[in-house]
Amino acid sequence: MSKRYIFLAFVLLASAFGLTRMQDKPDSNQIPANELLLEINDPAKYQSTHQIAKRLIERDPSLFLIDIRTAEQFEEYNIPGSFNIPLEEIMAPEWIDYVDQDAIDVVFYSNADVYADQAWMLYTQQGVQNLYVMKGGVNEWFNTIIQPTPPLETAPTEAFDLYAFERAACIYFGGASAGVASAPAPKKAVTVRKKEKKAAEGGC
Amino acid sequence: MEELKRTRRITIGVVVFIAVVIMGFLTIKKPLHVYQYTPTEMAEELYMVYQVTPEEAMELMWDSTAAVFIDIRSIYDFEKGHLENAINIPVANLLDEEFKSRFDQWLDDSTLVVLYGNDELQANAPWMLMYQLGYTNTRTLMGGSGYIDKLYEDALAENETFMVEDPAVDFAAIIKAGSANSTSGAVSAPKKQVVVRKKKKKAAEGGC
Repeated sequence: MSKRYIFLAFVLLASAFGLTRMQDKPDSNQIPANELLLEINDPAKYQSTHQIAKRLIERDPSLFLIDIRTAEQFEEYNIPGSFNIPLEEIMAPEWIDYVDQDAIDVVFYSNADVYADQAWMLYTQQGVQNLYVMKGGVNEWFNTIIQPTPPLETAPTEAFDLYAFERAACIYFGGASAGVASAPAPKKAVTVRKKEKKAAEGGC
Repeated sequence: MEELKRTRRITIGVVVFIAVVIMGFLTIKKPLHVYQYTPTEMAEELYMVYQVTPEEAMELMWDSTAAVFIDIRSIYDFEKGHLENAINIPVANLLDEEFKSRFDQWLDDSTLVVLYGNDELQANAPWMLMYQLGYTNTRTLMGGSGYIDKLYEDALAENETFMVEDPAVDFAAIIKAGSANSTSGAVSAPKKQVVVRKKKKKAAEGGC
């Protein structure tokens, strides 16, 4: 065996070894920054208080609410049916299975939406799907569901439909039912404009 | 003669292989952005204060050497009105190559980079992303530009605050008062059984 072959064999083995080392993935399972940016920019990550209320009333089994406020705040008030994981503990291994659930929509909420968004971010970057943030948080929940404000008289009918829903949800979730403000019957002056029948205009 | 041909072929084969491997090493594309913080580390960072109050912002706005304000809203929102001396980088373009050198420069100079949107929420996730990519000189603006606009226009509602995460009303008291008045009993939803569905770890599916 000439020296040349021994040397070549050695270099070959060294490069093969180097290649296997190259496949070392980084420890953390973070998704690439570009993908994460797409998720961040996607408005579908938000759920409104109305959507959540509707799903709760319908007892949607695919909804799982996580309250990321402190235990005291959770005790004081929480959206019925929600589960408490304080933001400080959100990364603890015992909670991973509550956040990472296959087909279930996990919705984070806090008093507003900033802290919930932080929880959302911490897990979405690990590749967890179906995570959402309730826009406005409990403050908005109280604004819209528990203490809904009647729309102005000049508002479109959709606003009144929404308000009717809000009042129904208010009764369901235990807020005081405020005075009724139903949509004012619109007095439509129905003008029937008779279409003048134009004689067929011939070409000229 | 035969023996010589075979050994030469082996040599050529091995040399070519090594050359390919070396070429591969040389042409590896380094990713543009590399995470400096894992999610767990970032969760720890969240204990610190990385927000700028509207008051601080209004002082920093006029001194472009102290801080840079980056408006992460769309071009249209930016044109409608933006904070003084702000630069517009819509969220989708934050990681573009053309801005990387500027971000690196700001990091080197330790300039404060304040990301802001209409409210604090809009800038929160982009800020976390930039921070985790190593730009630890970034901050968010509490209340966003929306709060400052309202301040200027004197349009702040009575209890409006930029500390949005504080409870706006006394939740417990209102619910108590509500349940005292309401007659219906079907108020609180039944306690949900928390079913934790364990994700089945799929074994690596090989090709067939």
